Formats: sequence, structure tokens, C-alpha cells
Amino acid sequence: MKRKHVKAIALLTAGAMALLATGCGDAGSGPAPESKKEETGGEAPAEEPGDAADEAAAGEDASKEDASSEEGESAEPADGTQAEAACTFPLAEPIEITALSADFGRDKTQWADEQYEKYTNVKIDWTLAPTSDVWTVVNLKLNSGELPDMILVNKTLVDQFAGEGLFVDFMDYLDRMPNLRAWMEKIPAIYYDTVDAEGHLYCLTNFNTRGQAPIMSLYRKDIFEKENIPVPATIDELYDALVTLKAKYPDSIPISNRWGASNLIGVVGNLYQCTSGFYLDADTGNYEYGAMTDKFKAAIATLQKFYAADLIDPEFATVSDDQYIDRVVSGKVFFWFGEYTGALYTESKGDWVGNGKKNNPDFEIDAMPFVETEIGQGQSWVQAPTGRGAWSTAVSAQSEHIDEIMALIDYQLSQEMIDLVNWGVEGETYEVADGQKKWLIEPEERTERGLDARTGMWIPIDQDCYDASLNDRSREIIWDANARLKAEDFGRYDPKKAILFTDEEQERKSEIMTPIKTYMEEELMNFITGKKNMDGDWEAFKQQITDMGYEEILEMYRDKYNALPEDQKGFDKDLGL
Amino acid sequence: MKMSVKKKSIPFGDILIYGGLFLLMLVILFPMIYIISISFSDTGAVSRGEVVLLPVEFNLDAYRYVFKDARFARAYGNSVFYAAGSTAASVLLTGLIAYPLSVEGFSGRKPLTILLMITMFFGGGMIPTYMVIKNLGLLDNPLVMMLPGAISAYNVIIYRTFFQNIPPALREAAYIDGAGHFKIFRKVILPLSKPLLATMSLFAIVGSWNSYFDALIYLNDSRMHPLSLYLRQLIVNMDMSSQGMRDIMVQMDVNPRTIRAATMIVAMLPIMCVYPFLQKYFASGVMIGSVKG
Repeated sequence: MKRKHVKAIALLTAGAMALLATGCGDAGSGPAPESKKEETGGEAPAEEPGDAADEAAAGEDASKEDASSEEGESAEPADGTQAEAACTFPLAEPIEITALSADFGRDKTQWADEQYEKYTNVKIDWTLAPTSDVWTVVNLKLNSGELPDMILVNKTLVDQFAGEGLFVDFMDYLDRMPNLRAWMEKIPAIYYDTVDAEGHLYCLTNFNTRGQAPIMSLYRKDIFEKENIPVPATIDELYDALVTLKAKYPDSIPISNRWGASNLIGVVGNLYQCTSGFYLDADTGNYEYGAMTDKFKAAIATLQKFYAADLIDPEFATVSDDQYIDRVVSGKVFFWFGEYTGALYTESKGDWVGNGKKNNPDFEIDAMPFVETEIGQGQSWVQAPTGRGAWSTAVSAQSEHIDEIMALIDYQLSQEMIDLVNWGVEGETYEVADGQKKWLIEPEERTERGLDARTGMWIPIDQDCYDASLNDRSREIIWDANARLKAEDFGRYDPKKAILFTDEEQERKSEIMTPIKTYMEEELMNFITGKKNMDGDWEAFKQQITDMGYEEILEMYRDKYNALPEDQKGFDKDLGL
Repeated sequence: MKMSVKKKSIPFGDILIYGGLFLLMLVILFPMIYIISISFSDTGAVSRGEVVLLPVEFNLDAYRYVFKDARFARAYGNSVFYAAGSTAASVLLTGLIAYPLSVEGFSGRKPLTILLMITMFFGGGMIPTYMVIKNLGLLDNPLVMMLPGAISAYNVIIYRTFFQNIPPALREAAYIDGAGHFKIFRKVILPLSKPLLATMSLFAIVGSWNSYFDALIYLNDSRMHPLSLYLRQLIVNMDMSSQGMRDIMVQMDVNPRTIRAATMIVAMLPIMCVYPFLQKYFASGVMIGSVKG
């Protein structure tokens, strides 16, 4: 009985929305500007999301441009004629929706959440699963068939469950979501990451407002300067420099590593423009299997050479995060093939340079360009703006508030909400000076207020926000790297469209590749530690992998890649920078 | 007359054994001491690796943080509540089911025991169990931590064996005096089973204190989460290996080791204090389910 009432109300609401949408222009924006102006104190009216007129859409895009980067290219304004938001926020009638997300260490009851509710008039009844086990909980909910209105998912789960009709297709609502369309134009990966083979978009990947080049080669500037060694430009110069240093500092561990052997192999592989698995090769224009290429062989040969000269930490495959940081801060490590530059100077007590200086006042780490190898310019993994579907939002098809939720998601993508959730309220928690946002409050207060960009459901994380929490030097390094990305072509980009496999293909892939991967991982350790040589043994290694049948899977990758339409081939270079 | 005191020479074997055990004790104690030292040290000193055995730059910041953290206090309270409730439910219900099974004259003994044994070997799996709990309306209900796991077939057998060792004559005497079944259970059987109850309570408390998985999947509201789940989040590294998230993780204030260490110590302290007093029950209770004579 109750269900009938609810259905009727939902239909009426939808009808009312449709009516409102057509006449939304002035009527809707009437009450909205007043409330906004009080809160945000003087933000340009063009940034209000409620306006349905053309200027609003263009205005939103313009403000997005301003905020995202000072040197960014202009995004094409959304098709102004189509811009119509389905609802205005804050909603006239408060609604309550349920949502499931990972808790990321906090309750959703802080100041930022209150502001969110004020701005949208939507009360979210959160189910927060501990981040360490969130996928177990999500899996359980999906299997039991009863979802909250909005749910955290990932691409794999969505592919599994899409057939059961559990999720709403974003494509059905795209014409009513101007902000989403604008973001998709700016960062096409938002669409490509999670769209399935039939063109349905069942989940929306999380994304940052832009990508960046967070990983650079680092070196101990003070040590290099003290020993009068110039910054190495090629891999051979690097080798010689480190050998000299190791001789002078026998206790040192010139190169260490964390996150397991695959991390080190990955970073050096990138230097040689390849990876250990299947990857899209810029030279051959199609997929290759890293372990079989000459590039990868050269990478492993280098690692072997460095390891033989005692330049690499003997425990590189097993060192834990804490131990690694101990090694860095106590001054033992001199060079990093690739490491997050954000770790150097932060406001938290864990920053490397700050702690390193306590042990040794001259301690200094700086970034350097990637060395050249015989393959060419060393590359580094570039951080794309999107999460590639690994953390996404989906909306339950059984929800009673689908229209409002879709409108809410669109509103969450507006500049106003991005600012609210990342920065807070202008004048209270941040200020805009010379076009740049600056914090007015300390990091502890930010945490207390919940300004960690985890309010609401996956609102884009403002990359500027995180840059602002670094100190000037670190920010300089990152922006330097961002600027040089295009010029020096050192970015290791992901393919524009990930190759999709059916269930049977996935099974076949696992069947063949799992033993190969296990074999490869073991053998690579043998090669690096010098137990096997790079001549005959490497040929035998390649032969074994061929015998295990990798070519079948490689053919699968290549065929699928060739079958892609031209505009989906190639690399995703749209970082939104 | 002078009484000569004979000096007993310590046998060499004793020295070896005690020495070996002492070394073993040091090895086992070291991680504990290390964690305690870290919890009392300064964060910077810890990340510089200066802390080995003794605290460096002694301060109580970590403990201050832990005690101020409302979530920790709430989780603690929840854990105590669940442990108490779970133990009471478990002991009472298991006793109630085991007592009839221990009485010789009970005709339903064999079929019931068989049914019980079947549950020992087969389970429904996580998802069907979840559906059952959901349909019972136990989701987001504190009772879900106490009732579903209250009766374990294995424990029923232990209780039954113990009850069987109580002479039937006592039961019959009480029956003649006009006691009903429940009164016999309450006034005759239970008082005689004190060692059993103490031991099984202890097992139940420890089991409940450590359980986190049930809370994870059945308790959606994070205000009801027990301490074990809270600790797990704090200590288990988040696996956020996708792009964008890694970058944030690097810059995020991952809880300093000092706070993690302090949390661990505060969580362990009650159990550590209680154990020595209940240890004698453990020792005598180990053989409790065994058949006598």
C-alpha cells in the first residue's frame, strides 16, 4: 500500500521537475541567489548552478577554467542551448537518500557535511564501511540485491552486476547534466573509463580536477654537491656517480624501494619506456608484452648491473613503508628512480626533508630530469585525473529519488560544490588572492571541519587543494614537472580506452597469464640478483613464456585494439592541465 | 648446637632450562616493549628510527589523542557491551541446550545430537547467512553481535560431557523434593559447574573481543562498531593502489606510528590485566570437557 503512494509521489515529482526544468530560467534562480550570496559572500553570480540559461553553462565552464589551473587550456563551453539542470539546489523540499561509501577514517557529521546539507537540502543517511574491507561489504550488498540509493562500486563489480539491472545508466540522464557533459569534454577519460561495450555508463569514476606528474627522479642534492658530482643525464653517468658515492659512503644504500619488487621494476621499466605486462607501445603502435621486448630486457639488465655493484637495497622487495622512510630520513638513500615528490615537504610531521635535517642539517633532496637510456628519454608514470573506474559511484535503479540524485551528482560537479567540499566557505576557511586560493585555517582545523574532499559522494578532488598543502618548494617541483610534460615527452600515459574482455575471455586470460606472471616474478628476482645471466638464461626465459602460450592473449589484445574506432585509439593525454 | 645449612647446588640442567626460557621471554617481550616505547615517544624521533628499547623524547601526546578520540571511546564501550552480552547469552543458552542432552532418560537425545553435529560440519556461507540475518531484522542491531554466534555445537558437547559427570542422584533427589526442571538446572547443576562456566566465559569474552568480521558486514552504523574493527582500520594499510588515490595517500596524514601504538596498548591493557587472575581457571579448565573415569 505504501509503495503505491510512493510511486505516485515519485511520478508527480518527476512531472513537476519536468515542468520546472522548462520554466527554470528565472523562477528557479529567484530564491537561490539570495541564499548562495549569504553563504559564499560575493562569489560571481555566474557560478550558481540553479540557472538554466545559456550564460550559466558558459559561466560555469569559465569558472572551472579559472580554478583548475592558471596555465590550463580553455575548455570548450558546453553546448549552451541544451543546458538545463533538472532541479535547483538547495531543493525546495528536503529529501533523504541512503548512500554507502568507505569511511576514510571519519564520521560524516562534521562541519563540511553540515554545509553540504545546507547547500543541497539533501540529507544523506550514510553507511560507512571501513576502508580496509569496503569491497567485502559492497559485494555483499550487491549480492543481496538491496542497494542504498548511491553506492561506491568499481568497474569490475559493475560489469559483473550490470546484467541484473541494478544500476541507473548515466547516459539516459546525460542531457540533463550540463556539468557532467562539460567535465567529459575536458577529461574524456571520465566517459571512456567506465563505459561498457554497449555504450552504457553504469557508474561514474571518481576524478581529480586535473592530472599531474607526481613522480620524478630524486637525488640527494647535498651529497652530490659535496662530492662535486654533476647531476647525471644518462644511465651510465648515474651508474658511475653512484659507484663513486658507494665507495665513499660504504654504509649507504644508494637506491632503496618500497611497495614491493614490482614497484622498482615498474619504475625502471618506465625509464625504458615499457612495463612488465601488456602495454600499448608508442613505437609499434599496438600492444606488446613487456617481458618479451628488448626494452624490458635492457631495463632488467640495468637493474642487474646496479644490484651487482651493491647499489640497490638487498631487501628492496620486502622493505616496509616504515623501514623505507627510516632509511631515507637517516640519510642512507641517495637516489630514487621515481618517487612521489609530494613526500618531500609536507605540512605533516612525516615529511622527509624536515626529518632528514634533524639528523643531518645539510640534508637536501631535489628532483632531477629522468636519465636517458639507450632506448631514449626516460619516462615516468603520469597521474591521470580519473581513477580509471577503480572507485566509482553508481546509483541504484530501485531508488525512489533517481531524478534528484542525478541532479545532485551533476550539482556535485559544479565549481561551487567542488570549492565547498575541498576548500570550505570563502572568507571563513579560505580566501582568493591573485586568482589563487589560500587557506585561512591550519591543517588540524581542516581535519576537524572535515575538509578532506570526502563529503558528499565522490565530488572531484581539487588538485590545487592538495598542492596548497605542500610547501613552496614541493609545489615548484610538481609544477615544473607538469610544465615539462609535453615539452620533454616523458609522460607514460595510459591508453585512451582500456581493452574490455568478456567473461570467457577473462577466464582464458587468467588461465594462461596467472602461471606466466608467477613464473615471471620469480625469474625476474633471479635475474636482478644475478643468479641468472642476461644472455642464454634470458633467451630460455623468453622461450618458456612463449611455450606457456602468452601469444594467444597478446593476439586477443591486438585484435581488440585494432577493432577500436580511430578516436579511441592512442593514449589518453588529456590531463585537464 | 649449630644447625648446618646445606647449600643446595643448582643443577646444571636447571640453569640451561631457565636460561633458555629467559632468552625466549626476552625475544617474545621485545615487540611489546618496542610498541610501548613508541607510544611514549615523539613522532619525529620515531620516523627517524631513533627508538629502539626506551622512549625517546618522552611525551604523552599520543595517549592524549587516543583518549580524546570519541570514536575510540565509543568503540571501546561497544566492545565491552558486546563481550558481556555475548558471554551471558552464550553461557546461558549453551547450558540450556546441553542440560537436556545430558539427561539419560531424555528420548529426543539421539536425534537432537545428530542435528547438532550436522551444523558442526556444514554452514550456509556468507551470503545466505547475510540474507537470513537481514530477514530477521538484525541488521544494525546490537543483538547481531550476541545472538547468532551464541551456540556452538562444539561447546554444547563440552557442556554436555561436564553435566554428565554430575551424579544423577543429585538430580533425582531434587526432583523428589519437588523441584521442576528449570529449578534443578538453576539450583543444582549451575552451581556445581562453576569451573566450566568460568572457563567457557573466558573463551567467550576473548572470542567476542577479537571478532570484527560480523561487525563489518552486519553493522552498517559506524557508531556501533566494536574496538576490533576500529583498530583494524587504524592499522591495516589501506590498499588504495589506483591512480589519484595513491597521491593523496602519500600526502595524507596517515596516523603516526605513535598514535597507532598508543591505541594498541590501550586496547590490550584490560585483557592483559584480567588474564593473570583468570589464569588458574584456564589451567584447571583445560581438561574440563574430557571424560572422567
